[in-house]
Amino acid sequence: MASLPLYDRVTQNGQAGRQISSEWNDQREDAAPDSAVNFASAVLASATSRGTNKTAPIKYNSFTTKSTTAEIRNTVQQGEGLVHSSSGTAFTARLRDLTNPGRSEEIAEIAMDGIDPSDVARVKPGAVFHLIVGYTRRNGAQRLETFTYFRRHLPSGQAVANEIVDLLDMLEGDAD
Amino acid sequence: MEYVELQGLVVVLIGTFNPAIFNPDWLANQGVITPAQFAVGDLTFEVNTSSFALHVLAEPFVRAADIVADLFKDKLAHTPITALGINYVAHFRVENWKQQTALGRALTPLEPWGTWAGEFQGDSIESVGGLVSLTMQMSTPKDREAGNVKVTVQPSNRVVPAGSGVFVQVNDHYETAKGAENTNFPEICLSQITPSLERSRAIVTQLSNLARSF
Repeated sequence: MASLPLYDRVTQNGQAGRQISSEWNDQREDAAPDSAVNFASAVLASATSRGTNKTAPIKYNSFTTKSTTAEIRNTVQQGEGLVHSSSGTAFTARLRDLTNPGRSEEIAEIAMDGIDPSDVARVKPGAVFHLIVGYTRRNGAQRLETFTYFRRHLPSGQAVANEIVDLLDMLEGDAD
Repeated sequence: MEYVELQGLVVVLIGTFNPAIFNPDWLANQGVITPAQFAVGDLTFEVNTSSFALHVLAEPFVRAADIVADLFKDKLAHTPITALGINYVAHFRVENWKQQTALGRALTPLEPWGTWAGEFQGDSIESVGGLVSLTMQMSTPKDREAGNVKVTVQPSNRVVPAGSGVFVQVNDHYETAKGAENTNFPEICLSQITPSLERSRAIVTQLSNLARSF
């Protein structure tokens, strides 16, 4: 994948993301050369150090996490879940359909072996997770898969609401 | 979303950053990136002194907000940030180049271009003229102090064969209003990433359905 012209991104009114299309929709190699002004070069030229007339390279740190076996997924449906209770083998959660927001909430029981092992410790009352249904592509074959992702952080308001749910669950447990 | 062939999310922060910090070892030591994420290889970090960009190449895209919060709400909480962009990109497939061209004609009719556009007609993707890039902007979204939502539509250069795909980028841009106190952009990212993604997908679905109706 071609390197993103970072210089473009930060020099046009500070807009966060205008030039992303240049990387995500780059020209095929057989395409005719683009005759538009090379904005990146123009910006670099203007970053010349005063007095020395040497181009001042803009240092940046860029890397991709190792390996290139990323699966391409086409998201078909996505839901947000709130864990209500959990046992060793499964947990119960309230599910909200994000793709079809008109649908009413559902209660679902999800097996622990269906979630990522690194997320097991996060399964507790009040935890929020995303349930994603999408197509994966491996070695040219496409198949529909469902997977979960437990949120590491929540917006402040939601975190407080979940703490209340936690507290209510605890009180409910004490009453039993 | 049925016809989406490729999608991704890029969260961009504008501000003042120390690029030297952002190396794989530091991110792993801080617990921002897990060993599994290194193994899968679907995250790209690009950092310079004035911008931070996190490319997420596969679902779950929402983890971008968690990483941004890990970094700029917790580990590097005092980083000055002036703007946030939640950018969703997708390539969707159409049946053929005629459908792609019809979508272009619907979004940018030829009539206003007068006689010049008369020469746009063609009998193949190589010879037909028309839309190369179009950006629409919502200037004052009600859900933020300042910012905008921009949607860019282009013929896809990734979907093959040529002429059978459309590229859409939604730039959901947040900034601090003039005269306002510092804005908590990591918090905005946490709260807005889901509605932003859903809005973006709705736009892609709308365009995809329109294209396939021709």
